[in-house]
Amino acid sequence: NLCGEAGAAQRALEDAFLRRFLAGTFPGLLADEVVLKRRGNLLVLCALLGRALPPHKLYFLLGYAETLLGTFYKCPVRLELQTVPARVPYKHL
Amino acid sequence: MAAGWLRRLCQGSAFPVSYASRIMQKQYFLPSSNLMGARLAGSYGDTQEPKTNPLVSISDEPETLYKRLSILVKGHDKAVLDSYEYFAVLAAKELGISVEKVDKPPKTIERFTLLKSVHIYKKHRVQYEMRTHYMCLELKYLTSSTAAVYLEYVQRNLPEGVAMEVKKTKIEKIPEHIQKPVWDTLPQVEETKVKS
Repeated sequence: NLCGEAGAAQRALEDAFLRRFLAGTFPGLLADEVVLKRRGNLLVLCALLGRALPPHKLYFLLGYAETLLGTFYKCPVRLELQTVPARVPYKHL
Repeated sequence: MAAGWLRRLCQGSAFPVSYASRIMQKQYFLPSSNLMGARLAGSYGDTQEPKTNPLVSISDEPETLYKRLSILVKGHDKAVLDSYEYFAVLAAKELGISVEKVDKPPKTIERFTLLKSVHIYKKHRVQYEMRTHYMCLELKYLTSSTAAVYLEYVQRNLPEGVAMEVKKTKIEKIPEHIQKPVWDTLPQVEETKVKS
């Protein structure tokens, strides 16, 4: 939503869908909100997860999410996951 | 044969089949085809031919020249734009492109006022604003290939989401029919007009 650029509404809709999709594929594992980045055509999703699932299941969900989102949005999607032992508390002062 | 063996191997493990099998198939097919080609043709052909890089193309056409290349970058965050400006100016200097000027137009703020509550309370509102910072980079005297290389490099390293790029180029060319004034080349037409 920069001044003079179109496509803000489509990007907002895509963001909302992506957040819901990731909340569904990793149920109860998301430690923090997903960070979405777009470089040209590439879509990079950076997510922090808790350590409830074993690694091979996480890799399966990673590949599944990447291929499914790539076929939905017709653009290369890269999902970067990082596991965190506990949720990081934010304090607003 | 190789593909079937690979698929059976992959399905035994817990890994996703589509990911690994496609990559491994690509890797395994190449050595078999190279060996087959070598046996049939012999290894003499490659060593005697000069090695040409397929990515580099040499053409004899005269290159179009650009008098000025202006790149406008927009973003929400001024610090990101400043770092990108440093990067773009450094890249231009390394390639030998002369930078005319780096302009920073003032930011534009788009504000709107909404009602704070869902139902009533008209007197209590919330204001949002979106700030867009600009940075204009102007480069002098480029050839088309230089411009293509520089723009591709700079655009591939554009920061995510924040900066957008708008490019304007000015081309200098003089068409042949304008080079000489008309009244010098056609005197005969004027004489006939005067007579009639």
